[in-house]
Amino acid sequence: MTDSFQREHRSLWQGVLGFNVLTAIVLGIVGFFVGAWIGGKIAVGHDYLIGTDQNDVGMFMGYLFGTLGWLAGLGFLNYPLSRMAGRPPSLRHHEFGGVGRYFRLCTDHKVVGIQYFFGVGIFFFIGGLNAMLMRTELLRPTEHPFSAGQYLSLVGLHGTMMIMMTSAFIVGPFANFLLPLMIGARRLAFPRIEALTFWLTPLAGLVLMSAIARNGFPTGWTGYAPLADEARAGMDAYIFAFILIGTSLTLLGLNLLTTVLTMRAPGLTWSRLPIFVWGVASTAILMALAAPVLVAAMLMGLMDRAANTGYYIASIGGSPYLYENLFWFFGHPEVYILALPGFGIVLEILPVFARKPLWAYRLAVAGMLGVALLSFMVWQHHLFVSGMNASLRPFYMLTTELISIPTGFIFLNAMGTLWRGRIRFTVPMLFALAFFFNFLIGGLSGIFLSDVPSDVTTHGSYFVMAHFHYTIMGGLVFAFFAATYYWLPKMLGFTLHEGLAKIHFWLMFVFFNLTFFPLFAAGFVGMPRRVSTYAPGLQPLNDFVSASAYVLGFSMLIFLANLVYSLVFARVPAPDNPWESKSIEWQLPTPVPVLDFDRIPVFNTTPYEYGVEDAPPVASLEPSPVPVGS
Amino acid sequence: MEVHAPADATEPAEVFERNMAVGARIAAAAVAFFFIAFLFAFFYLRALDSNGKWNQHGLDPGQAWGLPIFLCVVGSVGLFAAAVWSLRRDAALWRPGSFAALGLGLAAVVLQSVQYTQLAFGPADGGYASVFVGWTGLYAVFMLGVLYWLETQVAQTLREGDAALPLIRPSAEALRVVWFVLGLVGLVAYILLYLVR
Repeated sequence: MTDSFQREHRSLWQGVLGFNVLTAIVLGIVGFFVGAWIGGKIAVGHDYLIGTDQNDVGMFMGYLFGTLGWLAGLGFLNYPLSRMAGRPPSLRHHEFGGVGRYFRLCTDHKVVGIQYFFGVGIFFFIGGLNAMLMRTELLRPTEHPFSAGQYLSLVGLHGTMMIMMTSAFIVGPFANFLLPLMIGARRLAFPRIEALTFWLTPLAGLVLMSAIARNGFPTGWTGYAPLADEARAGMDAYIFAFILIGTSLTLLGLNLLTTVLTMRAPGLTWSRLPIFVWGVASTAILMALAAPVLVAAMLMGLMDRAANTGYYIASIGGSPYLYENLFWFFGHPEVYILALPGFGIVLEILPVFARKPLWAYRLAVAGMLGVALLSFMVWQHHLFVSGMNASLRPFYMLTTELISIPTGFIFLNAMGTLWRGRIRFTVPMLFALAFFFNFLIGGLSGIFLSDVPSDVTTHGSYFVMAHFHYTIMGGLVFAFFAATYYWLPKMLGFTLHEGLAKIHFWLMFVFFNLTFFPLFAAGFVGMPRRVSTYAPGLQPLNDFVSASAYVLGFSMLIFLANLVYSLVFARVPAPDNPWESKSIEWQLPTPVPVLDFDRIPVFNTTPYEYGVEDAPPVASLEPSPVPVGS
Repeated sequence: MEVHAPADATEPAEVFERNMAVGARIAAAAVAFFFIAFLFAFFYLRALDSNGKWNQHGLDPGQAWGLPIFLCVVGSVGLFAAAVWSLRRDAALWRPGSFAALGLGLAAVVLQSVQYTQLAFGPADGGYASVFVGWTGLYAVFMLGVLYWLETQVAQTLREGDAALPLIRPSAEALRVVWFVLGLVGLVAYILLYLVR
């Protein structure tokens, strides 16, 4: 294949001095201080600031100008300004080759996918370090390395970082890289928006981490009012980071959904769409519609803190319940923003390693769309013990329990696909199978929380904490690693060391369960979340959990070591199709050419025709020219 | 009138046109959901009336401001829709329609900004005051976004003349959808914030 889209190369100094992440950091910092200064000037004379040691106007203006500086440094403002001057539109940014393109604005969807993988991965790792510190704090019931406030900040930073980053951690790398390939397109619908969605994500991580310099925030990841209204300046970082992430998620959803709707190659009917693409499409619906509500909720909180409005302040006509409703209207779909691409990943992987077609394809699609639809109707189960109108409880209990039906479809698909399959226990397959084991425990424990009587007794305890770690970490992080081991050879062009990968899997699987399963018991006996002290009788249990957590953390280091070893030292080039997959991305050469396809392919069948005699190839990659959209 | 795609597109122009059309509808849905949060806040806080402070003193931002702002928005949306309609035919109305739509939209933002300096209440004067300031303020920000998009089309028309119209049309059609939905949000805001309160 040839690259009809040629990249230029330039010297090192040209690369360093241009629009790139270094310039972005410098301009972002300058922008922050300029904004903070302007904000300070704006706020002078406002009575509510007298006697306080913070200036929320200055903080928010600082973050706003810092964001503008960051984007300007990356070159994101060049195109909008040229459009203002009347220059014609373009789809591609002027791009350069080499490693440098990973550190600047790049509109190649494959580069953006890899940027997501590493860029978001750093913050994911930081979130994991926070968890290690939390478990260190919990080694003793009353003697603590951290103060109660510091511990609360650690909990908040860990939760927020993980939720924010895992939102992007699965969809970001794999959907951006793979979705165009899987539907026979050469790009996402809006490549500049694609690049923007990535570069907002590490900025959100940096803004969130800046809360550390302001003594953190006391609310945990949910940021409930009225505590959020009263908290010190670290809360401003939380609010602004969520605004950035919400904006990024909205734009990413818009871009992915548009791409699936409009850019499918000829022959790729809805019933031939790869199941991962269905997972991404249903996720994209949630991102495009739920994330704007999060941004609005955060902006209301921002105005409460900086403009003296009273959305969440009961004493001046507002209500903290307004925040809880708006937050969870986003927050519960958010769970499925994490889950649905995970479903897509594991269902994509199972047929490859079971050497059987995906069982009940349409049921899987119905399950994903059903989950997406129902996820908008369950949010008040988070408010069961918040003093909500009791007559509303049965409805939300019912809708929450209903959602287990479409989720169950995914399990049926998996069992049907594995049944009498010729299973290959490769590393991606191990992670995919572990996904179902863990997610089952997470799902079953969720029934207790959707049920009002049992939720009343377990709410706010470690039972809840164990439940959502089983779904999010046990499910989705395992799906992420399944996808990583499966697709990374195609994405990066080298093979990961299998022995280290298997050690990583077994350590992670065993010690994940040893870490979180005992916490169900801790929750049942009443150990509360977010509190650093606990009953002395629970110390042996907590020490066991902490020790398991350290090994779980160590397993991540093995993954990192494998990545570095395989990328830098061993570097075994990946074959084009190491898994003998029938999916179209594996029929392309490794590394994938810049424009993906010489010609737009024509699809012949589904990518799951394993064991089907005389099945045609999934697509004709060198077809006679056919107009796209015909 | 036929449509063109950007020079560096590798697909037929129809794909670009479809992307813009579908993307605009999803963007419009996202905008609607954003303002649904404020709609929810309006009814929720009004119904709760915490401490009797939803609108304790009968605050009224004044029709003298609200009606002109609303009419500017409606005029801008209507004129732009007419301009886009003409783009599909002979494009006779494109220039006057889009220029006037831009002018009226900017007038709405300016009037909104001036209104804040004349308001008899501040954001801390109850639930209604909070919702009023937040909703109208963010609505103005969204309007600025739409007007930026409109300005790029006007500027391209001025710079390249009628030759640019086949390239502008998909973008203009997309903007029409978003601007129409934002206009509907303006209608709801006007009814609730100025009439119902």
